[in-house]
Amino acid sequence: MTAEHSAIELDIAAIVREQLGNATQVKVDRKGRVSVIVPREFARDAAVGLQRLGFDHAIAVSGVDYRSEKRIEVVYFLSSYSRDDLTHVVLSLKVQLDRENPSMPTLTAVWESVNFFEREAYEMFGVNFEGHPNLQKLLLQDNWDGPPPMRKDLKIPELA
Amino acid sequence: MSTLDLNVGPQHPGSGHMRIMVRTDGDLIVEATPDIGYVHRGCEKIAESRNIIKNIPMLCRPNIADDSHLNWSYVAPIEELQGVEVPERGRYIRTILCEINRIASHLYGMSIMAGIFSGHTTMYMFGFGDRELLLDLAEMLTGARLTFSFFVPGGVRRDLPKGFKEKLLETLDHIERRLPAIDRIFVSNPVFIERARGVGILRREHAIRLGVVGPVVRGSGVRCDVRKDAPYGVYDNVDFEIPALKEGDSLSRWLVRFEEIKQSISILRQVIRDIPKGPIARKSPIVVPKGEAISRIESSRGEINHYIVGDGSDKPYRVKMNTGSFKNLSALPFLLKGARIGDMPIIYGSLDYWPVEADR
Repeated sequence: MTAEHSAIELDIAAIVREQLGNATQVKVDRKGRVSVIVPREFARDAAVGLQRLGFDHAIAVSGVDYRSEKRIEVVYFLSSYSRDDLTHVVLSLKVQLDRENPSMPTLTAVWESVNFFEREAYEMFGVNFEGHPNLQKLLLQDNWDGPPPMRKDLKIPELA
Repeated sequence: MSTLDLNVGPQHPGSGHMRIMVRTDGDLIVEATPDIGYVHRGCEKIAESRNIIKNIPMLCRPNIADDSHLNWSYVAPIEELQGVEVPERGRYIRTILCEINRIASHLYGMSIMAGIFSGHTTMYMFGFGDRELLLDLAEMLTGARLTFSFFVPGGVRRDLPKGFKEKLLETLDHIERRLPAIDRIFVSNPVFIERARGVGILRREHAIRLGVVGPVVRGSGVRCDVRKDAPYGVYDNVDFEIPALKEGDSLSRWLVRFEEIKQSISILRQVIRDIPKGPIARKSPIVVPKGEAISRIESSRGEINHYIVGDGSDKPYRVKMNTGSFKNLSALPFLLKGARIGDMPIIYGSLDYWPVEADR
């Protein structure tokens, strides 16, 4: 990574650090990749700040079950259509949640594009997105009553 | 106001394997709610219990019309975590297969929209007939018409076969000669234009807000393409343009695909001219090192991403597939609201939505 290439990434990291203070961990992973870890209380503020910065849509949202560390992580991958110097950047906004009771405010009011992604994380990982306009199952069948299937507890016998 | 609720689908012809719950007032759509998941097979869950090589065929199946892009998007983060760089010739061959795939997939999508959804059987026959020649090329290279599973971490499985260059150039010439016929019969056809123009308008700001990708967002005037914005493979060595139209209607989404075929032909000619000699693959360990990575690949239906978390074993700890169709789904209820029932097939067709890719 050359200094010239990483300039915008470092700028973004500096701005985010300044806006959100010590509650966050900001890191430039490589050219075009910046990651921001926030506690759930700051998720919404972080989202609003990033949206103002030009991250206008989410390209992906993923849940991850870190079972041994007793946490569920929801990762929002953000990019930009409207700011030319940001189109090559993917910023991952990671919200760390308690595995027993994973709950966080929805970010649909900030990015409409996360609507279906959050519904998927809800049914697959059991994350409760507070204030989501339509938090219902998306891919699973209606009569599924097992645990959220992407949790590591659920083992598929045929694949064990 | 008395409204009537209709179920469109989930049987295949017309909606794909999905259901759209439509509330109508007369022939106006008051509200449309997509109900997906009919072909959900838990790919991501299964992937966690298989080694990274065995995952390749399964994770590419969700879009048989666009296998190579899913394949590339899945192996790219693994290569990044392993620190393995694909040799230059390997990257050229990947680009060749992907652009062949893009033309084939666009012909497919254009044929479904103009052929099936608007009733012009000729376009369907044109598109599917020409697409077969591209599938022949893919078969010559990979051994399969549709499900190639051709990219492995570190490179590609085989080198270009003898006579491939000549066959490729011959096919490109043929496709190029056919484009004016498609142009004459459809692009300049007042019947088709009237059917698609001004239907399902997605303005630039709405497209950005909904986070749609590929020809859908480019049809709304956003000139973005991962091949230019964050070049991978050999896309920074080739000269091409990103077609974009500002109208944002169903016709412009169709025309963007039509223009992209011309760009892909040009890319293929440059790539086959410049392809260097050398190895096609590097040795890569069958292991996903600890860490995480996300890929960005411009598929036929827009940017796709695979987010892979590794824990040092031969199986991925987590694979998240983010496909173009899943992202473009958010445009469907938006565009159908306020549209007429008769325009629903055109709007749906213009998104080139692939249900299996969205459901995984």
